[in-house]
Amino acid sequence: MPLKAWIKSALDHVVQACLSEPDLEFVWVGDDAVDPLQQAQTLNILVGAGIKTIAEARAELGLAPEGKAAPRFGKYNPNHDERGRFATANDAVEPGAADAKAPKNVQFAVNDTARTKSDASGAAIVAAGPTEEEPKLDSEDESEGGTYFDPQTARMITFPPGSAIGAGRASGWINLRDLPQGPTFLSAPESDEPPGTVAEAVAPNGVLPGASDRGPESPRTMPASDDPNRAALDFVAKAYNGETPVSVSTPESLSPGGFVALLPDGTYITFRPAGQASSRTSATTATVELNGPGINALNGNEQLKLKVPGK
Amino acid sequence: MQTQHAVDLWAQQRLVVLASEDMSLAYWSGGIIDDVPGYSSQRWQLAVDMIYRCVVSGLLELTYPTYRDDHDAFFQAIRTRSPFDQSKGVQFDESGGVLWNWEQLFGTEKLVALVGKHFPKTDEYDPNLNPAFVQELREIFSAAGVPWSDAPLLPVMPASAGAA
Repeated sequence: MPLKAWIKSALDHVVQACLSEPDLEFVWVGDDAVDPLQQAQTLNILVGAGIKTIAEARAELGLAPEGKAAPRFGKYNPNHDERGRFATANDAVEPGAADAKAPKNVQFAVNDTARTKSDASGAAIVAAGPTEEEPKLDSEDESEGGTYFDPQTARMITFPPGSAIGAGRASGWINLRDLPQGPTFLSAPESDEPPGTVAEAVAPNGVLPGASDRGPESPRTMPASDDPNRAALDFVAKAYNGETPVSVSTPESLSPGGFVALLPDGTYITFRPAGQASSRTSATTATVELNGPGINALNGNEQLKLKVPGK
Repeated sequence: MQTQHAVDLWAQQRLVVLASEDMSLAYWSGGIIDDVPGYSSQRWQLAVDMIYRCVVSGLLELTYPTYRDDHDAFFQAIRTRSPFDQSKGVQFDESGGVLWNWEQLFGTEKLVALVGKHFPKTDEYDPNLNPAFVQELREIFSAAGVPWSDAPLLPVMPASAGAA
């Protein structure tokens, strides 16, 4: 990804400086892994709602942090005129002096045929000027709002009624309303602590969470909750410990809401919403399973299964 | 002989828990057995053979429908996808890590009856080996054509083995 960012920066310079097209920039398109439009819409929502920062959005797009790129590249020129176009320092205006159509928190390139010049190599040059209007999203939840959990970041986000959140749903977020016990959720706690291992987060000083009067091969029981899914997901967020999973899988055998995440320290975290087990498990019990060298070593080389029963 | 005792106790502990809990396949790849180191192919082999024996003999069943009606596909999956792989070279969804951590097993009524017979419900947790339980377990395995053996019953097939 750094290589793609570097190539983009170089081509931005060619397009904007050498070809004298300051309103154009280079973007990659045709990435099979992520729909650029969907990704842009999702990020636009999250940044606009203040949930993600511009820096986080740029990181997801593989772009360098603002201010760290070579200033000669137009893409990273911090100076803009009153219309939001790139400008020299002398011609620049203060943020907020632009008119109502100036770029908002972040600018995303959209594969708009009216403004795009593309080639067959999977790259495109798109207009980088002010947006004409906010993206219009298709959303069945538009009038109701909703709360979503992102297995990639362990963030829980509540959108107020009227928000367009369909793009978030389509990009792997779990709508907690879809879970068997999913009522209203709040945001997961943010932490300023540096990222760490799963074991450090869930078993500080080696003390395992939950209780068990059996051996380590037995599940441990967490305090009963009015909302076991939420309590379990809060625990998952804590277990991530500031890290981002290497991979996340949402197996099709069950839906909605369950997932397996692989953390950088080699720990698998499996979340099973209440009601997604056999009759051996109460239908009101959600479970979180942690399986990795660090946490297992604290539990007799056993995976750690935590049950969160409903009250 | 010490290994056999350790394996017997390891299997007993798991089956007692599975009589009342859903547990992931990865449950069978954990625990301490001194002569079968964790995260090794031997441990993978032991897990595969125990799951195979227990499913064939009707003691365990799959929680989810993915493989519930196709045990052959299930056995092929667990013998070719290691519980310890970290999805190197394959899609994460198709990795052994996801398979072993997501799919679940639970005890059938047959297992519940077996455990209930040898472990009457008490509040006392007994971590010791129950020879009568192990003896009947072996008889069940033999009757189902999957007798206890030191030799691999369903040999694992690491992906790298077929690559050359």
